[in-house]
Amino acid sequence: MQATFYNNKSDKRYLNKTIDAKYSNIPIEVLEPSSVIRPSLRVSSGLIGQSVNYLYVNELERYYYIKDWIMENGYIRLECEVDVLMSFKNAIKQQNVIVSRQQKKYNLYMTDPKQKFYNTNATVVKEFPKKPFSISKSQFILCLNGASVSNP
Amino acid sequence: MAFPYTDEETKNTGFEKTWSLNNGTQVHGASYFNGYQVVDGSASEYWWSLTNNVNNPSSVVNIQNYIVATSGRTVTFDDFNYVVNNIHGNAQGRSYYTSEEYITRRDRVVDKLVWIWGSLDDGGLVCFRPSPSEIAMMMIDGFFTIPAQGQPGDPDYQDATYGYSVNPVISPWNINDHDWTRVCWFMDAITAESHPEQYQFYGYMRVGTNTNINQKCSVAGYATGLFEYEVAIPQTSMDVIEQIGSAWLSNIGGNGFIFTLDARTAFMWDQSHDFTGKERLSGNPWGNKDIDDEENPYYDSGFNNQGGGGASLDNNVDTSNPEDADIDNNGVDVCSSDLVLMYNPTSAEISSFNSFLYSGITDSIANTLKKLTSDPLQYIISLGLVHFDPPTGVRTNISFGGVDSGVSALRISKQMKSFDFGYIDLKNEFKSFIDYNSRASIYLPYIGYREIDINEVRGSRIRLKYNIDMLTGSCVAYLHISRDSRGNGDCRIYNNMYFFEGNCLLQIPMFATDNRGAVQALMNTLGAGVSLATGNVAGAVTGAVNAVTQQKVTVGRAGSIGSNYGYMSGQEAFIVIERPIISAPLNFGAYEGWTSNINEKVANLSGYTEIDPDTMWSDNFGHATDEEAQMIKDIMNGGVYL
Repeated sequence: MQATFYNNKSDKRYLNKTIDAKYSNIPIEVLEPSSVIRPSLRVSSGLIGQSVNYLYVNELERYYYIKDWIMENGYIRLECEVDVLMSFKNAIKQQNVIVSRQQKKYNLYMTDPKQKFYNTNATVVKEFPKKPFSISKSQFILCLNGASVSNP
Repeated sequence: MAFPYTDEETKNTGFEKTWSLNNGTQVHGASYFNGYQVVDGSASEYWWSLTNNVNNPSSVVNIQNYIVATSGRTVTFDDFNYVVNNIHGNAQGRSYYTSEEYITRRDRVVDKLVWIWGSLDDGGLVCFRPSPSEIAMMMIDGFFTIPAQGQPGDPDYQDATYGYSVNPVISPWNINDHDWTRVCWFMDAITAESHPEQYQFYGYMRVGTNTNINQKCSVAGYATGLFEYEVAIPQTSMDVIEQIGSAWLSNIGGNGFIFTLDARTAFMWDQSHDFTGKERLSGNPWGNKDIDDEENPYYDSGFNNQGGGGASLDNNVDTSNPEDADIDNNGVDVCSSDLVLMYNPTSAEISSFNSFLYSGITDSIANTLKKLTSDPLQYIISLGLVHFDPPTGVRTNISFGGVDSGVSALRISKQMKSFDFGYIDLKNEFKSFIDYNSRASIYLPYIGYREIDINEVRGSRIRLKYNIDMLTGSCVAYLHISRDSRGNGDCRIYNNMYFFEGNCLLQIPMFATDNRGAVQALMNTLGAGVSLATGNVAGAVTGAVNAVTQQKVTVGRAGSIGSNYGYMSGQEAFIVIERPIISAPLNFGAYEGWTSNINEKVANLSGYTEIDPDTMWSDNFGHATDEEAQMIKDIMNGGVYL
């Protein structure tokens, strides 16, 4: 098997990693027993340097994180774990999904459980602009029964 | 009727008067002249500012009437082609046309511009219509003249009647607010072409209020010349978007004229902005670039309306249009009959009336009163105090039971009166759930604090009016709530959503028995245990967010404050909003994302994203194993950067 070794600068949560190829077509040996998800690989020392932390195995069609680097008997044993996002990103991109949180496409009117609030309220007072009543204004209203004598 | 003031009285001074028009309407106004004589019409320029309101003197209507006359009494002019910044003759003055427009960004109103144009610092007339070239046509349109009858000096001499067109009556009807703005400009011109001396004046009038709607008002002014006229102003031939009223110009005699506006009139609407020299008085045409960052933790480069759940708020506002509860035009009431007589006496007049009751009732008067009842005091229904100006009519002697007390007082002209408190736009401040995760209450004079549903009032225009019965003091405060799906309060549907009752009359007992009853009534109220107006929490908030608003103790800010208590309480209405204070770090969306609920292809997303794992199908992951598919779902659910 052959693998291309990279230096990965992206967080694991990125679908598309920013990777710099360092060593290409390096022969590797998959140690048995190994799973395709967490394989153990062996590489002859001297073929790769310490600057790599990521690789792609052609035959397995997967990208892997290098979880551990173990020197033994003149070889380098790499404990790896599959990067499912990078390995299957094309298939992932084609999926239609229901998005629950998003940085750019969102609706803030839905209650957000991740929001934090002060333990106090803000009180806002909005006055109506017109003030037909006034404490300084006092008017008498006198109501009487009976016919008026002087007509308006 | 002679004009109510002379030049000696008013020259260089201000005055305040109340006078009656020949139709019985009273006008209360204050005005001053700019130091020119007016009687002989020789003034070259005079203008006045009039503050008056026929029905409600407490409302301030500022009217500035610019009357310009060319020099002397002889005028010739040969065209009406007034254009912006052009001066005709010695015309001086200024007039403005203003309009407002909203600036929106991303479906949100961020600013409002006030435009002004036609401002002429060095005088002239202004263009009000789309094209200056139409001025000539408009000025001519509607003109008519009736020649003078006889010769000046003849006993039967009739001065010429001069017709003119109102050019144009500008409605400050704001299409966005669906309401009247404060300033209404209109221009009129009168020519005297057929008059042998050919004097003329033209003027323009600015009517403004310090409130949001036009009040019913009249303007009394003075014009040069000795002509009298009364003419109905014809509507122009311009396109009228909304025309629901008319304007009348009538001469009260004595070289004056009155221009009456109907309070509920919107004359015309013109959205044309084609004038030259347009200036912006306020607002930033591009909106405040910082407005989105200003303490709004939700500012981001996102698109809120794409966030699923239905892009627009389905506010479920009833789109019916129930009858306005404004009671001003309720028709017949007790004031239209003599069965109940209501007066608005001053303190001195009350004292005089009291003196009449105790010492002014002769045997003859007593016999008259006893025709219906043995106790004359039964004619006195009530005496009370209010903190507003009741609608008054003419002044007359206080009468009751067919007896004239001889004490003069203003008669209350209407039993029912509506008082407008204006409106509040309760916009969505954050455009988020925080706007609705709040509590709203309203303080109403003579009623107290009442809870209102935040879901109904947020994003709405809330208009408050009081209907008051002058006879009993009963009042009903009702709220009109209107809004559209954008939460801008600009829909034209008004719903009477809330009605609250109270009493605004402070009863004054006039006699001992009356006093005991009044006091006892108050004590009974107290004894019954006045409860705090705690109100109800509107709705329940799901989820664990913002326990603050809901868990805290609800505190009543006032008890029941009708009648006597209300008289001693605040007289201004206001809305209280209690909302949570959010703590959101910068770029929160990039770390945690915002709430969303959309169906989207992953390839169309970018940035931080969390996906509902149940919506990802394992068989779509190509050669991934089952465990790898689960890993994908778990990672996507936990948050990834696309």
